[in-house]
Amino acid sequence: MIESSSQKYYLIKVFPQDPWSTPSPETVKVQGNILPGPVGSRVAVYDYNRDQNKSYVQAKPGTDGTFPDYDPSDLRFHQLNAYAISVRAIELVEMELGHAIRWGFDASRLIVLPHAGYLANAFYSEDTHSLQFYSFISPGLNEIYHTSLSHDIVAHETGHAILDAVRDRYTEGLHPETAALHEAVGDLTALFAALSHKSILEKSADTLRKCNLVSDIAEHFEGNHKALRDFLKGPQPEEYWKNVDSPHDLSLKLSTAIYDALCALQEDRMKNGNLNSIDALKLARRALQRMVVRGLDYLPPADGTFRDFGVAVLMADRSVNPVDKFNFRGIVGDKLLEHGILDKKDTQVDSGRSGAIWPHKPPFWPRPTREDAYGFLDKNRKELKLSRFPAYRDFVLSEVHYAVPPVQRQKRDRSVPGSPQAVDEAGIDQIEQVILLYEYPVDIELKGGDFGLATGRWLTVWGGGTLAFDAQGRMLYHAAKPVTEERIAGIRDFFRSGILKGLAAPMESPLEDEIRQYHFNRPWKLALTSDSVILQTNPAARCYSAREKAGRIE
Amino acid sequence: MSITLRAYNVLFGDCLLVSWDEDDGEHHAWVDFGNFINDPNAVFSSVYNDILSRTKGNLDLIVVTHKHMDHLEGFYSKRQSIARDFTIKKIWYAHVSPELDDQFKITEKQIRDLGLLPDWIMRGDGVLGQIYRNNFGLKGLSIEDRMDAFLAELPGAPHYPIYRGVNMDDKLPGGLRKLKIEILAPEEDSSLYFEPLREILLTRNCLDNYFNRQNALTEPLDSESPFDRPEAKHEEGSPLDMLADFSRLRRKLQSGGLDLLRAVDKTRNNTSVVLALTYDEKRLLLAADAEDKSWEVMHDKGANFDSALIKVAHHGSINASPSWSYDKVFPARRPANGVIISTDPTRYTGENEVPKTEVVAEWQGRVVNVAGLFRRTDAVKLGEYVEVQYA
Repeated sequence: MIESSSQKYYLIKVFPQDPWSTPSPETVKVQGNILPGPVGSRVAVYDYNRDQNKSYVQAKPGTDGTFPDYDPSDLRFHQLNAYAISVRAIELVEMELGHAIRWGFDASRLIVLPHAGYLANAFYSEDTHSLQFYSFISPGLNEIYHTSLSHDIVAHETGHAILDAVRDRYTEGLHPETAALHEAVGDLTALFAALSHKSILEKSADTLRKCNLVSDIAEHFEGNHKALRDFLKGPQPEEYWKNVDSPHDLSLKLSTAIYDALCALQEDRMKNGNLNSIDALKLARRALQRMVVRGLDYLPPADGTFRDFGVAVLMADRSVNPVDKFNFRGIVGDKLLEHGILDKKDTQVDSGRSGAIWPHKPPFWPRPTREDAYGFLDKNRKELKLSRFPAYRDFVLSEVHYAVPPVQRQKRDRSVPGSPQAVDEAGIDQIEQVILLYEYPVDIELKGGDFGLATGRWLTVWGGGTLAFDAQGRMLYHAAKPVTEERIAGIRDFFRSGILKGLAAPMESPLEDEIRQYHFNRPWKLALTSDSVILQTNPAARCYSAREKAGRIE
Repeated sequence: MSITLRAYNVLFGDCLLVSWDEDDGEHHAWVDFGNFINDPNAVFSSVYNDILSRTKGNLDLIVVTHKHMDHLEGFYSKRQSIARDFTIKKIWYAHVSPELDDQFKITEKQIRDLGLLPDWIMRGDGVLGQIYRNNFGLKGLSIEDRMDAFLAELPGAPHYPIYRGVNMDDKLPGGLRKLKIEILAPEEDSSLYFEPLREILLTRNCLDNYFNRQNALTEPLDSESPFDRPEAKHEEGSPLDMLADFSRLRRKLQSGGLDLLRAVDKTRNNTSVVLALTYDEKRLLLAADAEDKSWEVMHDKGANFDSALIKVAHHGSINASPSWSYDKVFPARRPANGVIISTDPTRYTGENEVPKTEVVAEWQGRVVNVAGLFRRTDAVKLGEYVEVQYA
């Protein structure tokens, strides 16, 4: 452990991609205090292998407080590798968001199992608060593939946990794109986390539009130089995407657009900014990472779509970077338009006027208490999207965030990550945005069609919105998701077609292992109770590949 | 003079009755009688009574195509009635070489001894429990025990393990003049089907060795570790086991060894007895649960698949009708082509649906008289039957 005047951090070695693409581990800084395990305040490694029913000895710092330089074959290296990659991905997101994230489950620590058992899979399990990384013998590589050693896989799964923290309801997607958005955020977390390594960025800078270390996700997962996915696919016609059911495959519609935007930003800076490829990529990565991550805070509370995400990215950027000196927003908007994420009108975010200051600003603004913030929204009910009977409808204020500018955030004491009270000496004026989430349920009965086992049961549709205000109380953005008749009709169609296509595994008493092993090709699961049903994304659903298709139930 | 194949709706399982005319009257062979472990066994009674009535208690042959509950459970549960009511000339069951049988036992022991599947999962209604029991039965009442109990109940009926090429002189029921029976599978050498299980066992062994070796290289826990507690009794491992969040996670991760279970299931299917019955130039192919590997072996051994009728393998699943098999069984779209699928579409749905829509479509597409010669057991009520007759 190293302590400076403002920070405690550890130097830990990780594979910046995986043992085959980047066989030499590199040293990274990981903030905060770390106990043997490694166990930190946000992430705890628990090296338990279900297939051996055994837990392994954990990595432990020496007397000097630093972790030993374990050999990459040592299980404790794997523990540290997974821990460091996961924590760094969280740090990256929190730094850009300007506030700490609170997990989408009722605990403070995300548990990481670097060797959870024997499967060609890895996943985030909200139910067990864990990231589970499995090991398998890769036929293509003819050696053991530990998913906990793949930077992309660890960052991707952490990305799921992060999005679940930011938008808890996105694991109950009633829109086909919501599960795909989860996958895209996972892949984009992997992309930006990989580019945080100087060596990876430099190696990729001259070949961004060709196959390179960041264009592929999990480079060797499918065998020697056979990746799970790649970002190089160009824009596809809308008809193409209509036939894609798998969230992993559908996610490429969004992630390839963002990757294309990264390339375009780099090219623009090389051409118009006279930067070399490396510096241009550094700038492009920094700008796009900020836009994308900040966009997460501008997503509506439920059923997020690619369009919601695209607009959120542009609007969030407009809020913190109104001038857009290099037209980054325009370039990204064009790519989102080209890939069918947004339409022309959506991209014209700079032509709109800034929002008005809402009346009844509560005391202590911009740090209202949760109760005061609710009162503030209640007094402005007519501005909310409360669907029918807005004057009477109950709603819940589910989140209150105070975002500080990223630069200020970086200076903060990382030992107390993200506490809203832990502001630096810059004080109250440095609050940049106040983000408020409000939600309300609408129950619909699944009748008038074939909903399989769900027929006659009740489904809760969540409405609401995300409001972003500046420090003066001016409304910057309102990502509204009202429960409209049109939305209900769409949900019914998706629900029915998904069930009929067998995309959802009915689970009257969900058993995680059955989901894990036998329903890995079903993107959703139906949690049934006596009178209701919840459609949840299946965390263990894998993307399709030849090997997995062969692995059917028999 | 005719031959009839009757298939009963026993939900997810097989129960077939083949009846044919000889000069001395009608003869019968009963092929399989079982269903998925938690399907209501009450259905067995009505089926049993129908078969008793149809055969008048005279059976030339009983065939247990392989040791899975969905092919055996009915015979086991009705064994005493069968012994009382039937006269049976011969009983055939799938030959499995001792080495493979040992592997099944090793695998079962591994799953039990390592606690890979907790007892409540083995007994539960979930997919894992069903597959476990379909392959191993319950503790103290294994599938081997059930098979042994069934045979023990019928001491007067000679029984034989059957494989392709076995000397049939003493195994064929007497009095067969018009019916010719060919054994297309399994092979005497069961190692041909062992590959999926062998691969999983080797893989697990390799991974286990790796983890054991690597973990052994690590130092013991430091007694000054802040996590050490007197109650931490583990000789190895992490004291984190004791803490609530980790302990809960452990409890949620109920089962391991799932790959083993799946490989056993597949391997058992591939040891199925596949019969070709020829009667008056009409050939009936009873494919049991033969999966792709068994089809491949039969093909390599020069099997003739050309038939008038097929009982589709493995309830119409995707992995038991190789893409080339349709044209081998039905080289042309002949008027006599017939198909029977013994299945229950509620058991597996989605990507793993059984029967697989594409498989059903392929077989159906080769039948001219769909109304008369394309039959599915799930089209009739529980306990009732579909049949195809060639006169």
